Amino acid sequence: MLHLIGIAFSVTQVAAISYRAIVNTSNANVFVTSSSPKFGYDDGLWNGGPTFADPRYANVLKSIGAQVIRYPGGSPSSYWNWTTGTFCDTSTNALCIDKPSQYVVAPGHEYRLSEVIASLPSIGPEASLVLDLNPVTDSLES
Amino acid sequence: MNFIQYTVDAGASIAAVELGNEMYYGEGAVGARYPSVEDYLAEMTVWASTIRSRFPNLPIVIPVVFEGFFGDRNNRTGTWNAAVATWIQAHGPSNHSFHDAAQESTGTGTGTGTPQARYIVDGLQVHTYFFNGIDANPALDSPTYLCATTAEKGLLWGTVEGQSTMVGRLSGNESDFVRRMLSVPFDGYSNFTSQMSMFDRFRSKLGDHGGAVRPLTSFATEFNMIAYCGPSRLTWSHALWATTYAMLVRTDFALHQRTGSICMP
Repeated sequence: MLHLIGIAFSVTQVAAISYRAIVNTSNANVFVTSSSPKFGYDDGLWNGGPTFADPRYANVLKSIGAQVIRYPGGSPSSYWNWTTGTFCDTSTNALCIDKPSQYVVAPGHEYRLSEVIASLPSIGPEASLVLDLNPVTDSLES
Repeated sequence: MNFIQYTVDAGASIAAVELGNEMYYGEGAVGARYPSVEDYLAEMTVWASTIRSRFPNLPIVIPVVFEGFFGDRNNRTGTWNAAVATWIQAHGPSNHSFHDAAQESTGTGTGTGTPQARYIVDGLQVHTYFFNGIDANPALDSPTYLCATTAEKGLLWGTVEGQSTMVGRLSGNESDFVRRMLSVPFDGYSNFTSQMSMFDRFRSKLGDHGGAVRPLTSFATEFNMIAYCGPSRLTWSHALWATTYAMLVRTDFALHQRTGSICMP
């Protein structure tokens, strides 16, 4: 029961939002105004949240109408290796920044971009990603 | 770029790419890599223009400070937004590309719509955090308490023990605790709406181009409450806070008008 509550709650704890279309430009034309919001979930799997390996997770995201998933999300984005799904866990190893060999997987499970992409259709046909680029320990071309 | 290309090749839609996460904070390696906002913006000029050239319809988002929480942390956060606004103004608007609204959900099409000038970025990353003043441990309810030990973090971060203690507090005689807990999302919402001037300053800086320039979008890619040591994740109070706060913000269309449709679930 606690686990189910955890899953249901996790999808609302943080948000990844964007709006799709420009509906009007009456707002001094600087900010988009829209009546068609997108909303979703800043994943945070790196911190031990639910995993896409559990199909209930995508089902919960679908049930609440999540349309956007942010990857990888949060501060670890600055220490993330998207190709391996590993990161420098600065909370336990402050010296791993420049040492990819010391990067670790997320607690409990790996968290790869491929897993997230594979789960998007289960969340919804229009589900999309907000990608957190890493301009700290990664390069532009990476 | 390979990160983006991989996603595109996999057939996934991309709503936006963010030029880092909360880079204004400047902690650890972030500050070492970018000692100042000017250092960061100089590098992001290259990143943004390169992404534009490879993925012309992909919305690019830059982190800005939510002034109600981060704004007075240090000189870096205190000057960040003005520097970003000046940077956006200095680099545009111009015909960086054109954008087809029908392809916006993918962000990766070649674009067949009407050409429209754009700023160097398409949106602002705004993370709204609030202190909550409600924890499983009564000793940590102080609004000025800062987390000291790993054990304290463990208590707060959604442990079974933490939840049990929270349930005990909710069902006990602490009537003030319940009342305070129920008020937290409204306090957060009030805090948020009191910070609208930060969006107005961007608006004032960038000016009114009569609809000729693609407007900015605000991306609230994180929101949460802070339990002094960090988010009190997976607790009852957290779930109630998130649900209520999300409903308050989502239904405030006047707020969306002013911020560029910022919204949270």
